[in-house]
Amino acid sequence: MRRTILHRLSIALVFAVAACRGEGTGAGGTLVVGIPAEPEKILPPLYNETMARAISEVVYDKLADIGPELNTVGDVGYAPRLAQRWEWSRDSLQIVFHLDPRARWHDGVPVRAEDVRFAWQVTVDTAVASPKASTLGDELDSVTVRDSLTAVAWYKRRTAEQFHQVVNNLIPLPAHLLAQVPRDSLATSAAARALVGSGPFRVVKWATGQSVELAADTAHYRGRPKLDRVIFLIVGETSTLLAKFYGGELDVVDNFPAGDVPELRKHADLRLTTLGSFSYNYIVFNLFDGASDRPHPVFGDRGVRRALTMALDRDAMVRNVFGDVVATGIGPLTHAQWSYDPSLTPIPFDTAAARKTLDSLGWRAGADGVRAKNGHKLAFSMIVPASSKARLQLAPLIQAQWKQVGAQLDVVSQEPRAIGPLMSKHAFDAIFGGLTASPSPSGVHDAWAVAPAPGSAYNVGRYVNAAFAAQVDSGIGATTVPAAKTHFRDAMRLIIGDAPAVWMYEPPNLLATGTRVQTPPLRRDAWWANLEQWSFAPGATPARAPAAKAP
Amino acid sequence: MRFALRRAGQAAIVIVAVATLAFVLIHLAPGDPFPTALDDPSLTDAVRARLRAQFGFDRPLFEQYLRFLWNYLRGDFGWSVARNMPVATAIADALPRTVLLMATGLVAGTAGGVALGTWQAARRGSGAERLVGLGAVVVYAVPEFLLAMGMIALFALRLRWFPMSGIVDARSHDALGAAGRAADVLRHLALPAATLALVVAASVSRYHRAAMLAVLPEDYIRTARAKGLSERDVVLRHALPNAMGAVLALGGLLIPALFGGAAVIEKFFDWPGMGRLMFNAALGRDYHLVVAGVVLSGALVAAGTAIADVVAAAFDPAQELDA
Amino acid sequence: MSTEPRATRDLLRALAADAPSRSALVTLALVAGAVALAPFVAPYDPNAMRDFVRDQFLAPSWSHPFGTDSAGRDVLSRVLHGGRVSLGVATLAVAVSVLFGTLWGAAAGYANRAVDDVMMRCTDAVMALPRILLLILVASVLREPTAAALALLLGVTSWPAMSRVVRAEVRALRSRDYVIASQALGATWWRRLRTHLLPAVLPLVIVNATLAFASVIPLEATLSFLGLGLHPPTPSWGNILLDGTDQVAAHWWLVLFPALAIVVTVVAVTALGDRLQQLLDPRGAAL
Repeated sequence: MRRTILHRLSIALVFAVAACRGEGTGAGGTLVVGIPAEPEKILPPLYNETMARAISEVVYDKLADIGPELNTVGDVGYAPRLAQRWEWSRDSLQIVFHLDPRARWHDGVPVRAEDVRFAWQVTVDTAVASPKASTLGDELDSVTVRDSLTAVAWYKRRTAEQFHQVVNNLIPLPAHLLAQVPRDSLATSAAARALVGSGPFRVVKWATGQSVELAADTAHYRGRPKLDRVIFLIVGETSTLLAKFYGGELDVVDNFPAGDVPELRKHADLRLTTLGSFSYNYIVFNLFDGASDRPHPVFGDRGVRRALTMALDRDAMVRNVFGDVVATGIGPLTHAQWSYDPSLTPIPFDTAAARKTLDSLGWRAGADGVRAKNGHKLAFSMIVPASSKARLQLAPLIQAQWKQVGAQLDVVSQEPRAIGPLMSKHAFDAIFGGLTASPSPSGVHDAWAVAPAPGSAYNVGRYVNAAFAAQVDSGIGATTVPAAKTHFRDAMRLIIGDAPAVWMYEPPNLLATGTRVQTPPLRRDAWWANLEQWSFAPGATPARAPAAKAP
Repeated sequence: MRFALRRAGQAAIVIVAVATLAFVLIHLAPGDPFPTALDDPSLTDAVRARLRAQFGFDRPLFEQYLRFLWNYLRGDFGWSVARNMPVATAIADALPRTVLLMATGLVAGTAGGVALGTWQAARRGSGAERLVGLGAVVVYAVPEFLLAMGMIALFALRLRWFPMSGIVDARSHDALGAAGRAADVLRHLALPAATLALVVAASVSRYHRAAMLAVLPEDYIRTARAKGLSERDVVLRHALPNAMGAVLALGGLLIPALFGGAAVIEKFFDWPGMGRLMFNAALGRDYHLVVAGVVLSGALVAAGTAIADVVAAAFDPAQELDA
Repeated sequence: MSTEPRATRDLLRALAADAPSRSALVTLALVAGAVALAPFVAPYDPNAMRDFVRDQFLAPSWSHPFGTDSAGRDVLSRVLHGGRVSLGVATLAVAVSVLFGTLWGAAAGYANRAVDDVMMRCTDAVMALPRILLLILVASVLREPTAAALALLLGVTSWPAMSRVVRAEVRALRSRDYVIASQALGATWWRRLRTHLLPAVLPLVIVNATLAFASVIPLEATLSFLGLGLHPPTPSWGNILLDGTDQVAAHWWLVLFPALAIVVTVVAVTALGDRLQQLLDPRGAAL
C-alpha cells in the first residue's frame, strides 16, 4: 500500500517536472480540435469532406504546397514538400519532381518515386472511385519513374493551373503497403484505417465515433512539430461542441457558427480568426423530372427559375441568420477566388417583377393562393441537411417569401448521409446544398459544366449550357491570367442569367481558437496547413493534460 | 424452476417474433430501405455483392426472411454503411458502454424510487409528502432531453462538478494509470447515469407508493401493528417486501422504456453507446445497423423481462403471474 | 345504460371533491380551451413574418407576451397553435391505442389458451421493441409525416400496454358466475362481451388511456425536437423549443414557454389519471 502511494507520488512528480519543462520552452502539449462528425475516409484519394481532408493533409505530405497568396497559376509561391525541387520541360508538357531523400513514411521506409506513380495509378483507377480522378485524369497522361528519387509527370496539355492541379491531387501513397490491397475494396480495407503517411503527424489511434488521435513524427524530414499530439474529437451535438470549447476542453473549433459570435466575444481567453471563404451555399433546382429526360414541370422553365430567384430577398435573409458578417452569393464562385469580377451582379430582388413574370408565363393563382398552370401547381419540396442550423433557419424565411408570390414550398430536413443517394438518383426537386471550392476557379468545371458522374454530388440538377461550358473550358485552358479571367467572367454571366440555382451566401469561414494556442499566419483555405508550427504559449499548457508520454 | 424454463422458452419465441417484426417493418417502409441501402454510392462493389448474396435481395421475400434469420443466428448482422465496418463490430463496441450506463441508472433509480415511494407511503397526507409527490410528477412530465439539458447546464456548466459529455477526457485519458482511467470514466458516467436514475426514480416512486398504499391496509400489517412493532419495522420489514413484487413486475414495463430513455440521454451526453449509435443510424438511414439494433434491444428486453418475472416469482410464488 | 349519465356525474363530482384533481381539471380545461380556440385567441398568425430582420428574437413584451423566434414569429401564437398539433396528435394516438388495444386484449382474453398465448407473445414482441428507436426509424423513412401519420405511429407503439390490461381483466371476468349464467341463457359471445365484460373493463381503459396520453406528449415533443415531426412552418411544442436551444440563456423564452406548456399539461393529466385510478381501479390492475 505504501509502496503504491510512493510510486504514484513519484510519477506525479515526474509529470510535474516534465510539464514545467514543457511550459518553459512552449514545446509539447496536446491540441484538441472539435469536429462535428466522423471523418469517414482519410486516405488521400478517398476523402470528400473538409475535416477528413484536414487530417489527411496533416498526415500525408504533398509534393509541394500552395503558398500563402494562394496563387494557383504556374508554380509561383509553391513550397517544396516531398519534392525538394522540380523542373519544367521547355514545352511545359512534363514536370520532373526530385524527391527529398530524407523523406520517410511513418514506418521508416523512404519515400520513393514509385510511390508517386502508385498514387497516380490508384487515384485515376475507377474501381477506387476517387473524387480527384477526373481532374487528375484530365491533366495527366501518365507518371513515370526515372530513378528512385525522380518522378516525371507527363501532361496532356498546357494550362495555366497545370502545376496546381497535379500537386494538389497527386498525393504520394506508400506503395509498399497498399500495392497488395485490391483496389475496389481499398476504402473498406484495414489499410484505410491503419494509416501510414509522410506528414509531420502520424495516426496513433482512430476510435470510431470518438476521436482520431495524431502524434508528432519526431523524425520528420522537415523537423519535428512543436506539438506532441493532436486529437480530433468528435462531438455530435453543436451545442455540446461549443460548450466544451467555452469550457476549455477543446482548443480549436473549425467553421464556427456565426450566430454564436456574440457569445464567444464574452470569453477573453478565446479568439476568432476570419479566413477567406471558398464555399458557397445554394439552392439547386432539378432541371429535369427526377432522373428522366423530361423537363421538370416547374424548374424546367428558365423564366420560372429567374422569377423564384427574384422573389427572395437574400440580403435580408442572410442578415437575419448571420448578422452582417456574411456575403450574399452571386454565382458559383466566391469573392476570395481570383476569378471573381466586381462587374458580376446577381439577379435583383424584386417581388413585383417576380409576380409579373409568373403571370406572363401562365401561372395563375388558385383559390388557396398557390399558382397553377395546366393543372400543375407551383408546389415543390426542398431538401435541407439537418446538420446545418443556418440553412434550417433560412428555410422558413424562403418558404414565406415564395408563398408571397404564390409558390408553395415543402421543407424536408434530411441527414446528410441520406441526401447522397437522393442526389445520385436525382430524386429531388430542390436541395439547399453547399460546395467548398478551392482557390482555383477550375472547380466550376466539374461542378456545373459537365454532366454528373454516377454517385457524384456535382451538378445534380443536370444544368447544360454549351456556351457556358465552352467559356469555362477556355478559362481553364487559357495560358495567361487576364485571358482566363475574361473567360470565367463571361461564363459566370451566362450561368447567373440561367439561374439553375439560387446562390444564397458564402458561409463565413471562422476559426475559433483558445488564446493560449499560438499559430503562424493561417492559410485562408486550409488553417491546418502549418499545424507543425502550432504551439501553446509558454506557461499555458492545458491544465489537465500531462506532458506527453515518450513517443 | 419449471416456471423459469417455460418463461425462458417464451422469451425465445418473443425474440424471434421481434426479429420478424423488425424485418416486416423495414420491408414495409416505402422504397424498401433494406436493399436500397446498397445504393449508397460510397459502398464498394465488393461489399455490395457480398451483402446481396448473403441477404438475397433478389430472391422472394420468404427466402430473404429465412436468410435474414440465419445470418442473425450466425452473428452476421450486415454492413454499416455509415461506419464502414460490419454491424456486429459497431455494436460490440458500443454495447458494453450502454450496459454500464443502464445498469447504473437502473439500480440507482430503482433504489431511489423505492426509497422515495416507501417514504411517501409512510408519510402519506403530510405537506412534505405532497410536495415531493408533485416533484416526482414534474420530473416524470419533463421530456428527457430537457432534463438532460438542465443537468448539463447546472452540474457541468454552472457548477463544473462533472464533465459535460463523452466517456473519457480525450486529452489525458491515455496517460493515466488503470485507476485513473477508471476514475475518468466514472466521472463522465455520473451525469448521464444521474439523469437516467432521475427518470427511473420518478416512475418507480409513483408505482411503488401506490403498491405500498395497497399493501398497508392489509390484515397482516394491522396484525403486526397490534403486536406492538414500531411503525418503522412494520413498514420496512413487512410492507416493503410484499410491495416489492409490484416493482419487480414493473421492471418488465420499465426495461424497454429504459432503452429508449437511455438512447435520448446518450445522444445528449455524447455517450458512445448503443443508443447514440442507433440514433445516428436511424437518422442517417444506416438500415442494417438499425435493424440489428432493434432486434438486439428487443432480445435484451425479452430476456430482461423474463428474468424480472422469474425474480418476482421467487419473491412471491403465491402471486398469480399471468404472463 | 340508464345508470351511465349518473355514474359520469358522480365521477366528476368525486373528482372535483379533491383539491389536487380539481386544480388539475381546471388547468386542463384552460389549456384545452385555449388550444382549441387558438385561431381566435392567438394575437397573430403563427407563421406571419413581417420583418424577419427587425423582429427577430424579441424578448417578451406587451406586444409579444412570449417573445418572438428566429424568424420574427410570435411565440404565444405558435405555442397556442402548436398545442393543437401536440394535443391533437396525442388524442388521436391514444384513441388508436385504446381502440386497437381493447379489441386485441378482449379477443385474447376471451379466446382459448393457445390463441391467447400467440396473441400475447405478439404483444410482448411489440412491447420489447424500443419505442423511440422505432419512432425515429419510421419517422425518418416517411417523407411527409402528416399529423395523422404521426398519431398513428405513436398509437401503434402504445397499444400493447392497454391490451395486456384488458386481456387480464377479461380473463378474470369470463369465469364469473353471471357471465356463465348469461351464456347458459343463450346470449351470444358478442352480447356477453358488450354487456358484461366491456363495462367492467372501461374504468381500467380510462385510467390507462389517461396515463398513456400523459406519456405520448413528451414523446411527440422529442420527435419534433429531433426534426422528425411535422415540416416547417407548422409549429408544435417540440420544434418551438428547437429554436432556442442554441443560446438558451439569451433566448430563454423560446425554451421556457413550450417546456412549461408540456410540463403543466402532462402534470395535470397525470394528476387526473392518478385520482381516476384511485376512484375507478383501486386494485391497480390498470398499471
